[in-house]
Amino acid sequence: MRRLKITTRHAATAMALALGMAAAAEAGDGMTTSISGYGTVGGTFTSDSKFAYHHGVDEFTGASTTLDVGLESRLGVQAVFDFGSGFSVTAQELAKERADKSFDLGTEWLYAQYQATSDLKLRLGRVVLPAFLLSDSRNVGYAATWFRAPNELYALEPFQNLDGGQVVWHHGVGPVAVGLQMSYGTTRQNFLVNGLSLPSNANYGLNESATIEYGDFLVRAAQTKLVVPTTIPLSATYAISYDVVDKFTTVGVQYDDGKTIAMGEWAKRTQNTGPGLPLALGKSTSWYMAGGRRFGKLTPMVIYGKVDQGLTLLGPSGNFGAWSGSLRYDLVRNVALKAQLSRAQAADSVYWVANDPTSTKYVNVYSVGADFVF
Amino acid sequence: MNKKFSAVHSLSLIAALAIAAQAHAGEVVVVMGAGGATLTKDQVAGVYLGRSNDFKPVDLPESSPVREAFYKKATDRDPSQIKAVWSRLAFSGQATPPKELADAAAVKKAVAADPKTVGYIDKADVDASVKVVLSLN
Repeated sequence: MRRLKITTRHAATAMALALGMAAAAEAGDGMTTSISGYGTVGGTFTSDSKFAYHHGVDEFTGASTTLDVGLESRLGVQAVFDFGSGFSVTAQELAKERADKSFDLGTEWLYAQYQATSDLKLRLGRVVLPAFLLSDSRNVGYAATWFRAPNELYALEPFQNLDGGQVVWHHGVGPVAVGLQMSYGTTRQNFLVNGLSLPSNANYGLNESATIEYGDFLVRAAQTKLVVPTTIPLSATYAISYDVVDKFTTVGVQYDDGKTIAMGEWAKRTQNTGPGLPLALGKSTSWYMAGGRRFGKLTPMVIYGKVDQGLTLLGPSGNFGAWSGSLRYDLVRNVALKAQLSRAQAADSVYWVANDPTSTKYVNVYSVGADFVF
Repeated sequence: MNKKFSAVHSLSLIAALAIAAQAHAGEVVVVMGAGGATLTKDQVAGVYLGRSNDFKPVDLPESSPVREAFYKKATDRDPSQIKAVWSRLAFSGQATPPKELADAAAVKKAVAADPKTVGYIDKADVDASVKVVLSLN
């Protein structure tokens, strides 16, 4: 909200989009262009001024007792240029608050796709890093029942896309559909760790995922490996540098028959330890379960999440659980109003910009918002 | 006018109207080109919820009551739920939403022209150019 920062890279993307659109208009029948968008306008505050809620370590400030309308708000536009014969280009631009709290435009995805057969797609460019069940649509609030995906999992992987390539295979036979996906590329993100902003570049990231759908059931498993060169300052004059090999495994299940929604997801992170260091930088196991039921236009949902945080160089071990209740109201066909209340421990390692490992109290996060698509 | 006759007349008129209204809201059929084989409700739901890419679905406009009735019967979902499903698929690059056609005539023309295309129309609009592959009552 504060300022709209447009860098050369964004300008180049915008220009590519504009050229693409012009080309599409010229091409007539040969090429089709579709533009669509999504967004959320929301507000969040917490019950304690000492604890600021954030979605993950890529958000440095967060919302505390003052109502924050930037943290949950975002606007995305997607353009698909279909050149025929299986060739297309997809671009998705997303404006949202990042890192230092400026409202910032970024290229979520920008890839060329060749659909080799009805089941096989090959992509080149910036593609989604599909670590989670809902990675593909995590910014599209309208597509979800809850207002916000559980931090227990979704705060754990700040890398969200890869600059590289992706192979997607999806085959359906009657009520059964099987999907396999492999993604490879480099990625970067700014983290806030113990009050320090660390720009992190992954030398490479590799993700493999498999999905099985049977009617209203969906099961998905994914494995992500990232190699991130990291420097840990041990004193003012001495630092250790090594390649962090981060392995992140997730398994998710979902059931949605139109009336009842039930879902759950589990994640495990392991990392290597640096030379001469006693501990790794990351180690955790976490899960959540969620259930909801649709009553006409109203869909309440209850979510429980748990994080088992291992002892790392960054903090002590601990076990944290959090409850959330959310309510979706389908206002009109394109707009859903939502409210969510989350109750998490002040010591919880995944909810707050700065947690207090010694505290035993609970803090509430209150959110309301509207999700829309166009 | 005979009072008794009038009452009977009114009753039968009401009954006829009720049947007509029911027929209008109830009889949605899924159609394909002349060579199309019969489909099950699960197959049709799979295609229209983006789970299966066996066929190319086409839609009627959002304002069409036939569209709403079709999704309710075939998938047991409201328009906003369908919108949510396709938002997820479209913004994740997994699938493109069904192409929206203006009316039943356009749907019939599209399915007749391509054996992979599947559509739905009011039963009253069925003619020899298309084959009914599933009736949703």
